[in-house]
Amino acid sequence: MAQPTPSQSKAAARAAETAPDAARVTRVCAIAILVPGLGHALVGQSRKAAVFFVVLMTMFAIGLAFGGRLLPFTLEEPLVFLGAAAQWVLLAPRILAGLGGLGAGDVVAATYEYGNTFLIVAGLLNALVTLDVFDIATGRKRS
Amino acid sequence: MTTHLGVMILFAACVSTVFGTMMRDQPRDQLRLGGRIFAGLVVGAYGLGWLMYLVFG
Repeated sequence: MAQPTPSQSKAAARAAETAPDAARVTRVCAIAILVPGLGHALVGQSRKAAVFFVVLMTMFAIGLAFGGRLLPFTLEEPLVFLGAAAQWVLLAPRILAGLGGLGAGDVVAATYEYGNTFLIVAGLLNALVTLDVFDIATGRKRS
Repeated sequence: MTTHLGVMILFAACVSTVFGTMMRDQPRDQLRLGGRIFAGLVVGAYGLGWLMYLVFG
């Protein structure tokens, strides 16, 4: 097997230096899913982190206040399953609301569907926020 | 606030804030993009509502 030339060795060393730390990227993304905005705080974007935290937590709280339902994972109803998956992307608020007995869902409330929409979209937006922090942590997007 | 228009404006404000913040780095650019997304959502929904009223109403 041929030995790498000096220029190839330098290129390999440079690539190793700039390669994202997989463990750090995983940790940042997991924390971004756990608490909205915290991933951006870890990559040094505190102002964006504060905006994401306030807006997404507000959306989640509005969803609960409107009588929205924390959806269960049920394979019998695929759309409910997908809605539940979206809600779980806001992991810590979803767990805390579940433990607190919130989100039973007031089906007869005029705002019931609005509440579900806020809860689901808050989770989906946090999925986008997590993808954004993934791009920043891997160096695909400048921070 | 719980009228359909009020909730839609609240929803548009939240979504446009997140997108504006995520897709731009400078505060002025974030405000500009967020404002455009907000206006697009509100005006689009309002216009679509009128269109459906005129077509199907």
